Amino acid sequence: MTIEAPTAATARRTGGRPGDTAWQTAQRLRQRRRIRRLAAWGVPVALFVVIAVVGPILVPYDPVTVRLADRIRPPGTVLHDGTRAWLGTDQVGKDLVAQVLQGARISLLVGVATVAVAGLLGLAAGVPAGYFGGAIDGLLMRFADLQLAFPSLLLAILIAAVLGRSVTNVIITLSVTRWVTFARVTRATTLAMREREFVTAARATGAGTRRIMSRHIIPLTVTPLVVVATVELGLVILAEASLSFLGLGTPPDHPSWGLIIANGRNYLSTAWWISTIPGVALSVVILAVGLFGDQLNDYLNPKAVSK
Amino acid sequence: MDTPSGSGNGRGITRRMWLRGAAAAAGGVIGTRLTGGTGPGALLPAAAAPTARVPTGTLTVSLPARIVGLDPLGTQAAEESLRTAVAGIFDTLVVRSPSAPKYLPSLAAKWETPDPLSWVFTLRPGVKFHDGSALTANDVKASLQRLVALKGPYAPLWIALDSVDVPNDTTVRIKTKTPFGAMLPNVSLLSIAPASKMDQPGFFTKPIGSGPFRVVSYRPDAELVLEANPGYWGAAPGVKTLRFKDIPEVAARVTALITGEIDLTFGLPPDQITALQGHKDVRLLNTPSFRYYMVWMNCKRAPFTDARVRQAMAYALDVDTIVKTLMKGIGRRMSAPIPSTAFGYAPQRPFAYDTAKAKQLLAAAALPNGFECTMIWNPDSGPQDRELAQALFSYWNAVGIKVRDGQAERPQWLDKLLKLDWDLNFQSNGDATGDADFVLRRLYTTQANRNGYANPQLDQILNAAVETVDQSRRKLLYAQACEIVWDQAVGVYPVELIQTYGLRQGVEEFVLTPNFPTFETVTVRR
Amino acid sequence: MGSYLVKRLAYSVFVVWGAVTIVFVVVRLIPGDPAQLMVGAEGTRADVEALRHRFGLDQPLAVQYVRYLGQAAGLRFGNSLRLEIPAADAVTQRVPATAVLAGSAMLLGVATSMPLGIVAALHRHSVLDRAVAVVSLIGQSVPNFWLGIMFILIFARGLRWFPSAGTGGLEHLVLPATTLALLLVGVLTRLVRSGLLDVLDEEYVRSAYAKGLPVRRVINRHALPNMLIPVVTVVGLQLGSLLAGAVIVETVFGWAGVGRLLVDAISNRDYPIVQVAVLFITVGFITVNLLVDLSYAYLDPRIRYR
Repeated sequence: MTIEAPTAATARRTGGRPGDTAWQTAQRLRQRRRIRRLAAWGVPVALFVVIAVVGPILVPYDPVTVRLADRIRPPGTVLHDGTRAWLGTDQVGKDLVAQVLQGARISLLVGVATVAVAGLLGLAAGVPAGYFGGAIDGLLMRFADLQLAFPSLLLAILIAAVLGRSVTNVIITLSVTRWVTFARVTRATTLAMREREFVTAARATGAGTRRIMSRHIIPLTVTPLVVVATVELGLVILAEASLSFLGLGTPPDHPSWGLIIANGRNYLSTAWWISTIPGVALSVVILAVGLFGDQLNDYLNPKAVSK
Repeated sequence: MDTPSGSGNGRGITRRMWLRGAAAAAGGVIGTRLTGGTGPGALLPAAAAPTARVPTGTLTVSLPARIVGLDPLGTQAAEESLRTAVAGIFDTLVVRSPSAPKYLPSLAAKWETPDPLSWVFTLRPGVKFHDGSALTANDVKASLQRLVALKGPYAPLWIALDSVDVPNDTTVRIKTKTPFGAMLPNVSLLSIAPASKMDQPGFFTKPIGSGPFRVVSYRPDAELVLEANPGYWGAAPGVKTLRFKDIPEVAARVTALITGEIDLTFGLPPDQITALQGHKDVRLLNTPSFRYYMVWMNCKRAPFTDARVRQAMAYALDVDTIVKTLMKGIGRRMSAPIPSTAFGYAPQRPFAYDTAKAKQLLAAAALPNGFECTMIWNPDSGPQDRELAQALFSYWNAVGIKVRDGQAERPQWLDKLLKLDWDLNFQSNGDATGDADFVLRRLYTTQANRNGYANPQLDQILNAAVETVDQSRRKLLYAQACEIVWDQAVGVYPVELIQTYGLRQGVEEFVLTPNFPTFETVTVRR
Repeated sequence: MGSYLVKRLAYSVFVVWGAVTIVFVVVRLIPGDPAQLMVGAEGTRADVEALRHRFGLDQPLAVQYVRYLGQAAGLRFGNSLRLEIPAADAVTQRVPATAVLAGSAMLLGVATSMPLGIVAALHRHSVLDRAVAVVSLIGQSVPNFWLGIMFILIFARGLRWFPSAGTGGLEHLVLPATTLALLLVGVLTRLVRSGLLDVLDEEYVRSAYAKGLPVRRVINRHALPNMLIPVVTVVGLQLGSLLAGAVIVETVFGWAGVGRLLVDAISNRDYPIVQVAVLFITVGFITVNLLVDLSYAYLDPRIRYR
């Protein structure tokens, strides 16, 4: 037996639609709350993207000119040419504001591009593996195991040493080491979807494999992929920082946050701002993206309330 | 030639050494190895001075780079950390004086050159290896042969070697194919190991030498522990235990010095040095070293074939500002293509910081708008190298010379360097023997072809300098060579490095030398 | 069970062989000649060639590979090009240190993330849940070398609680192991939380509640053991990232382990060491994962291996 809302007006006031049951109204409220929460956690991420894109245009970064007389000045100092270094200067006198903004752009570029490429690779490998199973699946799993057995950072070192230092090569390196996670997720989703009724129905109506995959399965893999992507983004940016620590990250004229932090690590006790300010920015962004991913996960996979 | 600069303790040590030296001349008492001796031609008294002290305490040192191994005759022989570690374990025939380009007797009591092609070394008697076996001339011969056979970085020093004779247990005759004036510097890098044991597998994981310390344990990458050698022929070391602890990360090393986990370290960047200056438990000493930074131009490639372009690059640099800001406390302005601590150094006319003149020279060389080029280098060459490279790019950019950053890993950099596949090369270099020959003749002759510079007049001068044993004549020749290389701007030589040591209070009698440090004189008072 | 083990072992051999072969080829593809590096800038071309011949590097790749396989089968892995001791010795000297570091980090990570994840799951969507999320993510949102250096500055230099660097006993282990463990905490906490949430939704748990059993008993008796499977799986998989983190942590803290050795060996093109180290790492990884898979049978009685 269902309980209906007494009037349309009551329904609207409590957040539901005319004709809703109480349960449906509650559902709708919960849904709206989820969307609001999602949007709230998405704001910092969007802000970061805007800053990364617009920032370096407003405060351009000059990778060449040094100002030795102004080196290692704390945040807020007025420099010899009268300008104020709001975030301080680095070990050769370059302004940190411009560097941090440039770093935002580079880190964002590396993170997003890597996740996109790795995601595509994962999709291309995981869907056929999950759908066809058998030999293809076996091959993929062996290959993935092989790659996982080999520590990702070391694989990155080897690739970076062969290809040399450039932003593109860093993206390639990191994509190659991270596609496996995406492949696993898409494979798992495909496996689950494969046996569902709508796929069997589609097959019964004579739809070809490609059509089934593209129309039905792939769209369903997108949501779990996006959730994984939010976690992977942070890990990619950190992996790039590790590469920079070892001297194999982005080149010096395209400094990522990781490179600025790595280069400033000998100054942590004297000029802490060189490493710490981009470090804080990095952490905030990764946390924001990660928490947004958590929210996205909750939104996409609402669980029945327990306890 | 140079007295160690820096704090009072440095000068005090020198005074003490002079006093010991004077006492030695007067009464035949030997002080430390480094002061022993009255030079060639006189036999030294037997070992064990009445003023011998008992080694006490432990000194813990952390070197700036890992100790890669303990084989001073093999392929890693030139690694500074290795040389520092083995300096206490092995002896050499002679040692370089810490304060002057003179060579003092060590295992060799005297030496002479009966003819221009021979050097005869007479070993002091009664020297024993750590296992009790006697050190003989045969061990010297075997060590030299091993050094040459393994083709390590010091093997090329011995290209002129003809043969080694051992007429008796205490005499070594080294014959060269051409007259060789740089024999003493070369021999100061030849560690003597026991002939009967040196080829056994694993010998160099716990080697036996004749030096003031013997090896207790060696955990690679972690720790090397040495203890005083009770049967040492010279003065006993000041400490009973000498530990080398491996701490690669600068922040951790400085922390260890501050907390007292280590007693001594060096190779610190200027900003860390500034941070240490306030500490009451740590004092800083500095000394000029043999290391310096240089940028070569590939003289076989346009536009560097034109000396005016090279000189323009020298005028474009504000070296004084670089030294004052980036290199504060760790470097000073260079005034010759070899460091001021080397034998053969002669100061040259400095290139003033003059961007107008630089542009003028470029215009005269038909490059009024500058040009583009790439600089290869390896970012682990030395302190502040990254910052220095950035500064160089910036100054050159200001006169229109756009330099691309071609940094690479060491093997790749070395490959390109030796193939002459580069425009500019930036690196730190060290005059390992403290003698101009090591740098000038090996790197700047036409035959060497290391930077494409070809000047027959320079070749003549350098060859003459190595083939004479008359040291004052050599000095004159090297002065001429310095002038040519400098004025022709074969490279730019901005900075020579000063080595700063951090010592904890209680660490005394550390001898400052431009070379790698040694620790047998150090005492630890707690 | 027997045939399953045999299959797994055969498969493991394949993976190990694959990894070693790939590394063998790739490491020789990196530009830069180890012989030249050793001879240094002053040697002649002849010296370099002589050294290459001594190391067998002048042979064609295929020949080198076959020789290597042959020697490896006899457990002879050649001498380190640089250190002039057997490569296997160089690695085995350092493997215990890395194992201790990684093992401690793993234990610490699991021990931290379990309570955190449980708390978060039980107080879902509350402030506590959010707080746990942020805290657990700290390890995943700061560069590990930065964290390590900060630890040194704070705990070694500032508070003097621990030594700053070096290999040794418990006191030397704390800072590096903590730095490394923090990497895991984020992943594991999240997993524990969602795993527990999934389990708490299950019918048998609801019925246990309905029976009136206390929360703690429900969790310990019913929920936890089932939740352990994904946790244990992830722990096995995270070994790779743990090792990657170990490379950095070993360098920062001067911990004499295999990670540092491997990075230096790659920089110096010391092929024998790179190959042996990869062999060890791969074998270790496979062993751990095999143990993980076998533990499923213990943890979940429904799983049986035929």
